Amino acid sequence: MEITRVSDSIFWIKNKNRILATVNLTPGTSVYGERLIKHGNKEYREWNPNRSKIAAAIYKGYKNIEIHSGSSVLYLGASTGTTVSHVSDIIGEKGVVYAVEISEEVGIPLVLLAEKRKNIFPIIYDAAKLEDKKNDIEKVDFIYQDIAQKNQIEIFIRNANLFLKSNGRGAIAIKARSIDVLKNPNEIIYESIKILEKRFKIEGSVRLDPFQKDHAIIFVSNKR
Amino acid sequence: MDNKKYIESAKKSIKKGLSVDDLIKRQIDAFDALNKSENLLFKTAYDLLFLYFPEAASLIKGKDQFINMTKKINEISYDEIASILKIDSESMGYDLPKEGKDTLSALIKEIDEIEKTKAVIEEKIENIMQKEYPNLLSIGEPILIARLIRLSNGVRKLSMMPSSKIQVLGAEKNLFSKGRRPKYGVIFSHPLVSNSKNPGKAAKTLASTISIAARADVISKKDIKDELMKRISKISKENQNGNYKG
Repeated sequence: MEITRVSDSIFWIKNKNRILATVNLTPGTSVYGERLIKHGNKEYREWNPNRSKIAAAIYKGYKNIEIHSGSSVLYLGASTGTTVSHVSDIIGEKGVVYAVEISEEVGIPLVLLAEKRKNIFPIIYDAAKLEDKKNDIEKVDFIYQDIAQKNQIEIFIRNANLFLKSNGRGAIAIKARSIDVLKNPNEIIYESIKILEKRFKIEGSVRLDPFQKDHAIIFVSNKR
Repeated sequence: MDNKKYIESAKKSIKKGLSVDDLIKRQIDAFDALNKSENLLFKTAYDLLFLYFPEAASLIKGKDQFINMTKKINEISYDEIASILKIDSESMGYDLPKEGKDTLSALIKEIDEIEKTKAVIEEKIENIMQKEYPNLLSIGEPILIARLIRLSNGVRKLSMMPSSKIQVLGAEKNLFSKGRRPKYGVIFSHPLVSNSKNPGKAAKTLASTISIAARADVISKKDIKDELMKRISKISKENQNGNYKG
């Protein structure tokens, strides 16, 4: 088994096939049924690109995921906590991830996950109205947004204005189909970049095919 | 920093956010799952009966008739099936096993159990609706109303919907495909629509009635059953006369 480091706590494990994995923060437990791989004195959790868009971006060759050990992350659209658990792995015990999710039903597994992992801070609230939760969320190093809304870019910019540190970075997962079904996805992603460019510096963008159809992630950093 | 405070408040907002609609959604999901498995079991049981007694099986058409027939039977034998269907008990099929329990009777018992569970769920849904949504319940079968709530994701959203959307709930697949636009969705299972000569028209009026009832249940919380009944009777009158206006 060969292990190569991508960034903090993210590794490629090569054993016949190459798979992406993060170091398990709570050894012995698997969050959503993913494979656990033991090597040396560490335990790794497989990071499936079909279920997580950040993983898909790394699979597609993007390396500068600027989430580090000890980072604080605002995660909008946490869903059941699949990707959140990996973010929690990466940032480690000193980091903080605010996981915002609107739906109560979907939020239940997220809260249960947060009970096991002390660095997840669940917030059951609308990501578009986080002004009300200003007192609960401190400024963060990284904002990641994965919500299927028509005005997702607007919401992202608003939250970045509210919560992103001046040297902070962010990533937005764009689901082209939820912005406009009829338009060509490439066109929508291009337009999204155009809008984001006015507010941020674009670090890179990745199309996530074939892992996630008609999706893209755009990585940005605050303009200085 | 500790995340306990956040977990507490998240738990509180989850508790607050979950509503009776979620319960109804789960119930109707269970009902649909049972329906599905019942159909599967019926198919296998029917095929088995066809092997044993093809003459009888060929007379039975559909699940309901099969269940009605099997309800009358105590023990499966050629004579008993033949006497119910009034045919000759001679058969060209494979001989029914005489001793021990047969797969066929076990399958029939299972189908019967499913029927009973379905009745329990139906009653449960009706009880919930009587308490929470009496106006909606006065319009149609509890299962149909529950299905509408499932598709619209809650009564509040149902009440905000235009009635033309309520009319085609459940027909989303056809709505966006080529060809003719659908005139009705799950609403078709309402007897007033399915028995109508002009189901499109009946569905339209029924959908508007459902919309009004949902609004009364969510917003004003008034009892407007009489007014709803007037509208419903208008549909049935139109169905009888065959003369559609307004």
